[in-house]
Amino acid sequence: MAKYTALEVLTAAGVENPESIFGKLGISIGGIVVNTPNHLINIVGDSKVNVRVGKESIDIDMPEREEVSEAVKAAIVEKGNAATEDFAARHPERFEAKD
Amino acid sequence: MATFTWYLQGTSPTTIDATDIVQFAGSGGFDTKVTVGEYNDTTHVKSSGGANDSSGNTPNNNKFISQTGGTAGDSQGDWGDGTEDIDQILTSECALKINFSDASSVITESAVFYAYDGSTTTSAPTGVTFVAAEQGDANWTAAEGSGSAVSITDDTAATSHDYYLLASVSPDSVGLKDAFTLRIELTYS
Repeated sequence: MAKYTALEVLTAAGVENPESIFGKLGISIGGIVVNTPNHLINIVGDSKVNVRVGKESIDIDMPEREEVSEAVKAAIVEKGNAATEDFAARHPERFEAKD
Repeated sequence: MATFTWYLQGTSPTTIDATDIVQFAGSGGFDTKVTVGEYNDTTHVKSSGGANDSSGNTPNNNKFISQTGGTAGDSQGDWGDGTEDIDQILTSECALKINFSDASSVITESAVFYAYDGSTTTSAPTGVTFVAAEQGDANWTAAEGSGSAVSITDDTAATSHDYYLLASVSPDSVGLKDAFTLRIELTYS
């Protein structure tokens, strides 16, 4: 299993200017509809993934990787920031301020 | 038929059956109390008849330490090796493994995990603070009620999907806390 962002997969698929197509063309990766560049996807099972952009379709290989990429880390941090904001609002008495 | 199978991981996994209880307990082990404001030191599977089903399996425990006290604002937890950033936890160290399987190879999307009061999925569990995270997350989520669930990463197609989750609980007041149910939801196709 390997975790990728949608943008990483589109880039690997050779899509030109991938950042610019979100919100303009229908995109699916491995059958999963994606709408944002930092949409995280686990590639499980077969490493071959079908990428559809509009009417174009291509199968690419997204290999296993041990390291978490900077793009994936950024998406995880964004998720974490939202979770922390919610935690602080729900449980202010338990939330400690970070210096 | 699509099936969920829940496990409390440990040196050996303990299958959590539909009528079992996931018990978050104190440092004294099975059936011991957690001090108000403190988080679980042990986790167990208790049968509907009261037996310790995870006995002998050295079940994993994930304990909340801080929300932002780790590196660059990461959350911290303790799963037996001392305090660490939760993004350092291995899949084998997570307390919960939930497997979703189907005879067909299917994708899974919009998977979420949370606790609720056992009656209304939008309602937080009663009398506890519950936090959870997917393995790889940098921060705990106060996953109380469906509106505050942990979002689980979408999976491409497979006949079997494993979700590794950290879970930690703290009582807000004294007394048994059992208006408290864990739930996973997802869409598959």
